[in-house]
Amino acid sequence: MMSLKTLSATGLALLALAGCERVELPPQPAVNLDGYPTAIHRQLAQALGRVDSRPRKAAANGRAGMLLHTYDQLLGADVYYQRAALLDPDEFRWPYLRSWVLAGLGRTDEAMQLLQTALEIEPGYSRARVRLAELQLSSGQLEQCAATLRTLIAEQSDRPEAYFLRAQLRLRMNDANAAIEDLGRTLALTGHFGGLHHAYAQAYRLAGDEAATRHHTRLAEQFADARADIPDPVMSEVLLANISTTARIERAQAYASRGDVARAETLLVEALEDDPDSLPLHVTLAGLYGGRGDFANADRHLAHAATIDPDHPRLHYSTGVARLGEQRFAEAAEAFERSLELDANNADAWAQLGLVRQIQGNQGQALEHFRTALEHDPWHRQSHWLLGRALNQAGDHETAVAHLALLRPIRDPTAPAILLDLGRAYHGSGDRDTAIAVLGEALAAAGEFGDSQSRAGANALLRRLERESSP
Amino acid sequence: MNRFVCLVAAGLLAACSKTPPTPPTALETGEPGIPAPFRDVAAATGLVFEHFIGASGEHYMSEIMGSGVALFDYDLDGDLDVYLLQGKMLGDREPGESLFPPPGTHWPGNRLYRNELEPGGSLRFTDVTNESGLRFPDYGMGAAVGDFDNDGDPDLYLTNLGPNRLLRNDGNGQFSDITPGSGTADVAWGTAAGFNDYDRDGDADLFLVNYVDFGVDRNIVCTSPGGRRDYCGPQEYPPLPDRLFRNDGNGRFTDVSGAAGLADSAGPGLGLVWADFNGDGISDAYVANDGAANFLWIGGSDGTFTERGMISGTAFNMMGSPEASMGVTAGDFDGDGDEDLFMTHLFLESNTLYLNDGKASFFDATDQFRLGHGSMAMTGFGSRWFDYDNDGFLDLFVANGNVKLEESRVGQSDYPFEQPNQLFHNDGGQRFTEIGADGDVLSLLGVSRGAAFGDIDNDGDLDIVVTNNNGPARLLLNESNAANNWLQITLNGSRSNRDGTGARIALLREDMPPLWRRSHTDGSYLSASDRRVHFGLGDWSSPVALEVHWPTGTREIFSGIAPNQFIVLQEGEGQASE
Repeated sequence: MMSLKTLSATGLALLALAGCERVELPPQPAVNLDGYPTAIHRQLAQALGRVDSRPRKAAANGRAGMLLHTYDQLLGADVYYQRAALLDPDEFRWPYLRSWVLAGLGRTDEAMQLLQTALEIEPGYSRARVRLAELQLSSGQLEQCAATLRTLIAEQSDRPEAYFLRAQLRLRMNDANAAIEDLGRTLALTGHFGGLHHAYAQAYRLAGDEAATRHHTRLAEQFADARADIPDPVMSEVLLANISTTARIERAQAYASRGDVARAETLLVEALEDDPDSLPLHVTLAGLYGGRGDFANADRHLAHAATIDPDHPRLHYSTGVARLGEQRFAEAAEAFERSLELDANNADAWAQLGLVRQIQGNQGQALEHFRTALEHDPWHRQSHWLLGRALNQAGDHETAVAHLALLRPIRDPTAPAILLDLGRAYHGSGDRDTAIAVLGEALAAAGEFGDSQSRAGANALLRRLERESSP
Repeated sequence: MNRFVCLVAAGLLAACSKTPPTPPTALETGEPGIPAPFRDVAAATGLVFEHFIGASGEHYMSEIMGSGVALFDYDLDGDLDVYLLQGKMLGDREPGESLFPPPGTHWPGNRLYRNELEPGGSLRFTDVTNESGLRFPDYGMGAAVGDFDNDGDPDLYLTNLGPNRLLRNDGNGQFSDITPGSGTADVAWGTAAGFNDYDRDGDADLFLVNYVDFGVDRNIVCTSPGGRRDYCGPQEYPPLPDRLFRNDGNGRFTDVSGAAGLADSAGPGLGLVWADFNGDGISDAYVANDGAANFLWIGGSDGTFTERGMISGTAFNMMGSPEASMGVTAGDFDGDGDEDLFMTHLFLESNTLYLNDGKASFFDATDQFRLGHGSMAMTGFGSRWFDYDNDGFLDLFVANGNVKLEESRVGQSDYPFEQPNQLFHNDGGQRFTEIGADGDVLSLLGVSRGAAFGDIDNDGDLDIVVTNNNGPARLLLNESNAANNWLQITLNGSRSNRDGTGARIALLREDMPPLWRRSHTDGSYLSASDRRVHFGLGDWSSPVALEVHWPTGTREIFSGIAPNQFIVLQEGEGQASE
């Protein structure tokens, strides 16, 4: 057994050896925390404090980099990622995340080098390869980009972003037909999104096909709000670290749009604890509560929002929506009208006001308001739907088809009801075959989204169509 | 889900308007390279102007948008005078209460500086604001220059956060505010404006670009990604429609926005350039909208316009995304005879070059010409195609400055929005190379906004006046001393509008492709540039011919013109051309 003295001597020797091999780190940057909200100030101070207490711990440096990154402190993030990478050269996240920071600083060549490094460490993180291809493409390194995309597609032939990027590459190489082919592959893998149809329009413009350019331009406008997100768990970690009110509202909206209202509510209530007088938070929470029929809570938040800014157009709009949900139609109309006095371009408010007028039996004014909404936003989805339904009721099925058919590709919880209305419009206009096809889609969507009411409606109409066709 | 609830829920989700993600800001001062051949001589020449934003701590959106500059020879003495627009305190506070109080030398309101250049002498400016009648208590934004009354002297149209002004040059060194009764009054937030004879009736009409419906009484609180108080983006406020005022030829204008087809399209407009993009001889207008689809208004022979931004490929960038679009410039940088578009954007968006195929169908060629990455870390504003080294190829200058708080620089700077400006050299119409080195004038930091271009010292090359938000105006004197030759042309219309605004000029040389330029003062950001048409000729020293396509449709050739001079071409005195 070694004596304590020998053990100490050995330990000291090992420590000295380790000291000789120590990499030199860039000094920690000065980070100004003035002006941050308390919660963010605390979050950043804690992370930076951890680095102060354990300056050679890679994870602590990396975490500090991620927090500074998410709050756009790019110069500081760069240094902390650099320190983390030096301390843990086998971790691909640090060069990968630093590549985003450097690209944001305009240092693209270094960003591409870092992506190569990240891929050497972790060749399986394909988002890094996609990012490398993006930067190569935008740097004009077309051959290198083509090689990166070849590797990517060979590894994973079902990555839509690889085909989308290859289409962009082919557009830059003036090969319109090959680009169109790749866009077709992208469409098959992702469905419609604005950027895709914009690229189609460019390809057809390049090919000199005016009609197809026009068609895809229209689709690009129609699907302008649709996105094809590229999964990136590493970057998501950075984004999720952001606890600003705005970021939390955005995340809550994303959860709510996916139907996860409870998670959205939790996030917003947490945010409210940190920022109790945020008008957007109160309005968003009111919307969330109103949407699920909890009008007491919705009203509570609207009342609080009114104490912050009684003349905010969004406040009046949300008040209108809440009153509409409570079926207090006169008050709803009053709130929408006030909202429109403050912002006449708000297509949502025009649509909702039209809905109120429709419920109140004023079909003429309802149609007028839906059309006004569409003047302000030609692709306003809710207005196309409401207008289509109103036209169906008015017996103008052909015009109803024109509006509702625009919404046919949409797949979300509203799809079954929209498709049912479209089926009715086709039926009314005498197009039996298309009506049956669309009702079939409505049934499938009703199954997918659990909409029993639309399922029942579609089944009833299908039975009626069968009866009508039997001799 | 119950359908009624479903409809309501859809509305509620829409109510929770998504705040646009704020991309990170950063400063990249560039690597060592070729020094830019410009020197800031503003202070040395008496052009002492400090822009005042009236920062109250409320982060009113106008505080970050800056003001423009006009370069024009108001007194017709043969050199360019400088008119700078000024901000002011909004609300009911005094300037001294501002977060950035004005310096002791501060004069409120816009300023006119007369150029006292003597032939062969040094450059010097005198403040003649008071005697000119151009001192106004407005929150000044932009300036358009044109001779709307065809009397031979340049008039002004000023855009403001608030009522705009039409100012007639009385020819005696003074201007008269003739806005009431002129038909050009507009009280919205005006930004870019430009004169052009769109209906080809021999007088200059006026296009006015409006931004958003912001007011002090409806200021919205916005924050940075880290929750610090910051300036809002345009998405927070309703966009406004643009307006077209037809010149009736009697000193009055008629608002023809509705009849021309413009009235129904609202957008947060900041940039404007008139040009004939499809080569049909009729003026078109391009409007750069901030964070929304840009408008390409293609002019028809009946005086109407059709919006073709999306179909032409100029509404969105290559990836189908709208960009911030602040400044815009149109010019034939690749020598193929049509007008290509370049516009400046927010950081992380890169600036965009739209290549014209001659039929107003465009392709985003930013990457191909190496103009993308250099601008990723910048927020660009004023910009223009101009041939700074007289080599015959149009280069680019971009005035930069953030609109969002630069988080990394909080605590290091009182005003963490500053960035360096950029100069891109056109390498033979094939690609662009960024010029600039540590310590040169481009490495000076500022929150640059407006930029106007012209030969201020009449030495044959183009100089630049840059406005800085909450900072001094800079006069970047071109000292390239290149041996290259040049020519500068002033057009005098007779049937056409007096300034020949909108005319295209082809410079013809034996065995060389023509060089195409256009007579205009618009473009850039909130600014008006020298109306003289500049050609760099490289080492070409022999006489050249000029073919002028006048706005009214006639064509004339003027032959035997020696380089290295300023010349005046009078409509009707050339040889008629087919």
